[in-house]
Amino acid sequence: MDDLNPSPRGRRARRRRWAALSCLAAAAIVVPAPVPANSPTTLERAIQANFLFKFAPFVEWPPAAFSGTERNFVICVVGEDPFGTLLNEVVRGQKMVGRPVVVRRAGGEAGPTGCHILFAGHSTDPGYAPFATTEGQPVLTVADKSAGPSGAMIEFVRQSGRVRFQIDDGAARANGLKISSKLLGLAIAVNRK
Amino acid sequence: MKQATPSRLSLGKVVGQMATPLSAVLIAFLLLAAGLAAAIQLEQLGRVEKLRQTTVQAQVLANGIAAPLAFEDDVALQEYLNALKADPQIVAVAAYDGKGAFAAGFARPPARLPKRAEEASRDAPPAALAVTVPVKQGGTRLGSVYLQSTMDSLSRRLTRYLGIAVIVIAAAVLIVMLAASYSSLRRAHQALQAEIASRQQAEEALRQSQKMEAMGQLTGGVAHDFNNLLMVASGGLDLMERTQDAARLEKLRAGIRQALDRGAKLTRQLLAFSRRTPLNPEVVDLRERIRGMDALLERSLGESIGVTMHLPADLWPVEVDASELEVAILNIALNARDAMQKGGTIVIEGANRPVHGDLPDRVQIAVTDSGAGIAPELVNKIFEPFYTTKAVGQGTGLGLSQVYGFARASGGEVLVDSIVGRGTTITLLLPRSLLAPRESDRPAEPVGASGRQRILLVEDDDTVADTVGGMLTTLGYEMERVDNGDAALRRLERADDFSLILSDMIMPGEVGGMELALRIRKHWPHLGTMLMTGYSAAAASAAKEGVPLLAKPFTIQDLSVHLMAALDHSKA
Repeated sequence: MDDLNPSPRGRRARRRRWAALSCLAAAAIVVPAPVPANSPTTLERAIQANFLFKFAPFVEWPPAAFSGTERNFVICVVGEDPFGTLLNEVVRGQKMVGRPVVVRRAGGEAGPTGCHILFAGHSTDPGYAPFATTEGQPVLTVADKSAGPSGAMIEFVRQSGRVRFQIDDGAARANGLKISSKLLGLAIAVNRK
Repeated sequence: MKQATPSRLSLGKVVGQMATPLSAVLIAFLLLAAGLAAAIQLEQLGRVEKLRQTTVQAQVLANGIAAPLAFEDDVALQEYLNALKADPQIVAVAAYDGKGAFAAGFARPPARLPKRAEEASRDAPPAALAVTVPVKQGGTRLGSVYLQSTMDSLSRRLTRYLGIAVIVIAAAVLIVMLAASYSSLRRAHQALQAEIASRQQAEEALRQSQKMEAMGQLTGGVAHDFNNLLMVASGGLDLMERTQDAARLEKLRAGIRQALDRGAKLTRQLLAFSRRTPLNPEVVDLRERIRGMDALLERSLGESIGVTMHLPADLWPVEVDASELEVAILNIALNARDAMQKGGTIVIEGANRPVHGDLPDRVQIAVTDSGAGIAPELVNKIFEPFYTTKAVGQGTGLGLSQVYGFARASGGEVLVDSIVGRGTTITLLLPRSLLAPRESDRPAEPVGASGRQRILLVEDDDTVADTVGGMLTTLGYEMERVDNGDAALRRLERADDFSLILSDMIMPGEVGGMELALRIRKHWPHLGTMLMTGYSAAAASAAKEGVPLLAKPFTIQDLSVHLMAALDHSKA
């Protein structure tokens, strides 16, 4: 009942939240974040590792993504790995949709297979196109906007010294992924096309 | 045992008197207890409901803050939590991340926030309405929400219950007050009843003394009359001894018989008259009743006063107390006599007075004298108790007040019509009864002696025993006499070869006549019994037990008839 008919208070809160978020989004659009020259700090990397894992609960993969022989929930890292052991620490013992979460790193040309989340780090390789292989597949692609390839569905950005992210929801939907509106609401910018 | 009875009675009375107030107080207490129980129940239900509400609020909150909590957007998180500040009953809200560390929250003093999620579920006071719900997204636990809310303040809740409390208390007070007034009414009622009872007793005593007053008036005349009767009897016997002339003997015997009959009739009327009886209305044939008083009136009024009666045979019956009626007639007659110092005639007239206006059918009995009359200013006073014009010692002033009381008690009235120097008419008006009067006992037809049966005569007085024994022998019965009840029982134990036991009622010894009759009925049911007495009170008790009774004095004819009846009865 309460879920169907939210109390006025709840509605008001939601409205207020939306107002706040749209303000933030407007600010992000009006004042474009300056592209920082330096690479992310250790703290930022730790937060990114944490976020990378936490995106998973807010994203819905199509059933086909789990139909193969793979029994784990796989987070792949390609290019330069900015996390080191941080990411492994975060996912240790965690489960996603009933599967143990594992991290795979592959520097090979073919890229890792069976990924559910693909993080692409910085690379000096001129032919570096980590997202080309996952085109049309239900893989959530993530990258650091300031220190990684472009074209990821979720891109980390720095805003007021905090780690935030922007989302290309159109690309995600094109690849069969559904991103929760809660996550979209928190993004500083959303491309809905 | 006998001593214990009054105390137990009074205890029962006290319990009876206290029962109503006690039960009322009990009911009032029950009402209060029920009100309290309802309030407590309501309070608990309210608490459960509040807890449920708080849990739902926490769940809604947990759902909303999943993303801000996961991605550490403190601004959005605080926005969510602050939204709950609008509810004054929410005293503390906190969000904890997946590791249990405090993320954001607020608390109103004196409530405080748990530092970590584990403390929240552990430290919550048992009475507090605190809930902790997990924040989950896609099956992954991202943290938890702690929400503590409070019930309405005590004063607000009390205000809510005040209305009910006032009603319940008012009802309880009302019940107790009603019970108190009921019990005081009850006490007043009991006092009134006691008063009524004592008044009834006093009235009863007054009636009897009024009757005795009339008796006193009678006694002189009766004694005189008895002397005359005794004179006739004893003189007659003397003369019988001195003559052999059969015709004269017969004449003397008839004279003695007549004198004795009159004496017997007179004493019978006197006994009936003086009997102490409760007021007992019966349907009465006025003509028969008043005519039956002839001897009484004649003797009590004296020789200078004549009595004339005009009582038509079709006089309607009335429903009155017969003995009170006789006393009233006698009182009016005595008053008439006293008004006629030089003698004269009293006329008693009866007449039917049919419906007139709104007055019902009534029967009128008018007693007229040709005496001094009553002055008009005194007419209203003559019915007052103790009002008398007679000298001290000659009248009590109760006579005419009895007449008035009788008339009112019977639903009738008394009229006085008097002309000074010419005479007075006192008229009794009594309502007609539609019932038929009871057949009065007709004198039994003399029946000749018969039978060859043995009769046991129980009589302590030798003279009476000789006379009755002689009568029995003359009637042809075999007779045996014993002195008292004990002797009779001993005789019967030896051999019960009798047809009937004829016993006096009042006798010396342990076994009186009544007791004897009851024992015979029990041990020798085939034997008949008959009691004889000259005492009217004893006669009533015999009649109650259904034992045949022969009233003294009786003639040999009376005896024979009663014996026949009793023997027939015992055979049947």
